[in-house]
Amino acid sequence: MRKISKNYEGFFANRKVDFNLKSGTIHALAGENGAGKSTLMKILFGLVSPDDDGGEILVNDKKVHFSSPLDAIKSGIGMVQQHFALSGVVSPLENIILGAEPSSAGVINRQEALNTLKELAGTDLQVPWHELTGTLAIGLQQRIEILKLLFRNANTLILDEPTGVLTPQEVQSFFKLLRKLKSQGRSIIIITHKIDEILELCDEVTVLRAGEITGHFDIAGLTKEKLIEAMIGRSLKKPQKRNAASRVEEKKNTLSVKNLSVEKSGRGSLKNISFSIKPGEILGIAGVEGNGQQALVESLLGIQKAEGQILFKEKEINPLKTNVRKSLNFGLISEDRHHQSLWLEESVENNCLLGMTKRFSKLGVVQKKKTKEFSNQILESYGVKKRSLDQCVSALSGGNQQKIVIAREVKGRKPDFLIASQPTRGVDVGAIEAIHQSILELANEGCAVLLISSELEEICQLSDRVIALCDGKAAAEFHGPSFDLQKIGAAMTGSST
Amino acid sequence: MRKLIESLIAITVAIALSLVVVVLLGENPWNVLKVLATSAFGGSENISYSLFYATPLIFTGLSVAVAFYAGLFNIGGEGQLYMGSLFLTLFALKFPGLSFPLSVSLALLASFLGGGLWGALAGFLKAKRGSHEVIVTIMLNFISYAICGYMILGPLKSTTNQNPETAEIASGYFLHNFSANTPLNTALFLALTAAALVWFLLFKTHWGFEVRMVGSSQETARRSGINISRRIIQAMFLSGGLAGLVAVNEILGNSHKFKDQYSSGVGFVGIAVALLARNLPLGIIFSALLFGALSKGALDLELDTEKITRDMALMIQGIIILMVASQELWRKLRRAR
Repeated sequence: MRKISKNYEGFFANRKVDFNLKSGTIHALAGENGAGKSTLMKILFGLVSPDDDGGEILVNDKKVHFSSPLDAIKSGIGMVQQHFALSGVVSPLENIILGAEPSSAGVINRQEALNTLKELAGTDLQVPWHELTGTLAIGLQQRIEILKLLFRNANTLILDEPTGVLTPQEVQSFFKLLRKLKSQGRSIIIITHKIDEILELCDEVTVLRAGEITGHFDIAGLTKEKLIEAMIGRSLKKPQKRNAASRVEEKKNTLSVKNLSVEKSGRGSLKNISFSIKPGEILGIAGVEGNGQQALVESLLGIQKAEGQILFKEKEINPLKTNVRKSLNFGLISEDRHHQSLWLEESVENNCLLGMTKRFSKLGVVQKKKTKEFSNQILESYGVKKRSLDQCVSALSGGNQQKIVIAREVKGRKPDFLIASQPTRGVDVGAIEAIHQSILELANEGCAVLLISSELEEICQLSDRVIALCDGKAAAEFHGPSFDLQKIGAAMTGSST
Repeated sequence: MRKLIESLIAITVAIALSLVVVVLLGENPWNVLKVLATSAFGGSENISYSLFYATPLIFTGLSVAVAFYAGLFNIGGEGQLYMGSLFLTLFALKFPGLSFPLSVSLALLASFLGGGLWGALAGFLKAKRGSHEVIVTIMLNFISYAICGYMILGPLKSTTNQNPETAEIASGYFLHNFSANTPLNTALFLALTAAALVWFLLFKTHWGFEVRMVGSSQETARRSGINISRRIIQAMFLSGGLAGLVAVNEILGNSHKFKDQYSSGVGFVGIAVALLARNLPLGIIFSALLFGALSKGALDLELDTEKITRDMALMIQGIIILMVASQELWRKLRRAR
């Protein structure tokens, strides 16, 4: 791809981008959220048409023009989107052949399709061909998407954030699969912002920042620091060490939970959890997702009925409704940014005020001058990339959206107790740094923090104590300041005693 | 701006398509247009009638819009406006001795309260029991028809004639009519004021901020510490109350009694009014004027042409709704691409 540009109403998602993929290699396209990675790949796949200003796409040195994904597929290019395009109610076999069915006289030849697929799949890629796709694990669904491309003779595979949805075990077997595809002479492009994965798997990496290329490296000899610098334009600061003196031992508990249980059909119940958090303390809850984290958050907030005792500042809050509990000065960073943390249709400014408009009201009328000042003030230290306070929050990238949530809950609300659930999910390295810093500062000021995350490193880096959650039970408790990742990992997957 | 253009397109296409039907019926479309236009806007008397028809539509349009902002579809406007009428009539018949400012203001409050409580009932069932507001408000419509029918034909029955209507209210309650020939009255100003107030409440106050958040992003609202049940009930109270104010225009301003089934469906037309205006209070004033003029014009169509009945207005309304809805669909499809 040469000199590809794409602008949206004056905002350049890509600006004169060159990108070269050598055949038979795995090439990472790295960069922060909103850097233009997905746009570039959508142009290559014919989903988005580039600006008409001299950019060109060459496949095997021949100039091509893709006006739709069909053209791209004909040239051997296939793409797996971040959100899969599979029908849950038909079998994998049908999903794969859909639109490219081998048929004679209008009748689909399933047997022939199956034979071709089995051959293609070899031993590593086998899937249950005849079950319902919707019932299969995410990892399997991803394989189906890849098989879909192979079935259409794709030689170049584009994968958009492929590991975001996988468990650590699935990631390993996924990497094995990609290496095998590479050995068959196929080329693969992976869109990602996970640095460790790039270094482990890829041959080359191209880095985008704000729509422009900021680096192109061979992985051999590349250091983590150099890659991060290309991605965010500076090196990462280490999170400041905790100020241990601020944690006075004899302080009373901010939150204490006794024998909390939530009954749920299927996975996700909570079984007899007890813990307490002191002011200024960060308690980490480690665990693979779906092991009761949601039930824990929702029962603390009063959204979900629970048995057991919840004491906040030594007062029982079980019978209180969600809005009353929140008014006790609970801060909350929800795991589902779009549906639980933000008001997507509204402006950046209004999203800084959620639940706090009363503070800025005189006789019920919101005072615009005050809210503006407040929003500017809390966003100040986060460097949120926005055009103005009136910009619709849905137009921002995920990292910037999350910064707004953090600014509101940490700087704006100044809570006594913060629930931070997956606070850095889908967020790039630069923003992660800022978010971690914020949480640490807040704890230093005396806020009790419950940090729930499936990122083990994040948990270990920030927490004073860690509880490993497995199948709704507290499998083990660990005390800081330093943690053994292996032991926690074993406890949360239930493989230790 | 985009909303305005889209709404204008919807109106234009609807009128054009209706004219095609007119041609198919064998009538002259220019003649039909002419009759419609003169009947709606020709001369002060016709304009007065159009404005009189528009007034209740402003109230019901606002009513639907307020519920929409709270994420609810209130199709109980009919039931709410009848309950408002009942409260107002009961109050006026009970206290016939009151005189102007006090009488009208209290009657106004009574109609607001009647409609509001009927709306809040649906809101309560939604917030506390999760009952779907569409079903509940439809059913409450029928209950309201029955209650009002019983009261009009029973305890409140006029003793001077055999019509299904209540006795006349005292003249201390009458609103000022602008001319002796038309029913247009000062309730129009009340409607315009209501539109301004609704806009202010929704977009400038703490209350409106929270109601709108509950409507468009409920889980975020819950986690922001907003009392969702309370806001839903309050919004439905306001919505129902606005519908209840229709009684002020009809009973205080025009007939001076509660006639059974008088509304001729303004509660439902309010949905179209709000839809065309994209729920914007200022837009609702104009869209109510359009629909008011259409109803007036269609009445004369029936008289002045051979084959066309007043249902022409309904048809145009219907096509406008289809157009607005399809624009919404079109936008969604385009965004999905």
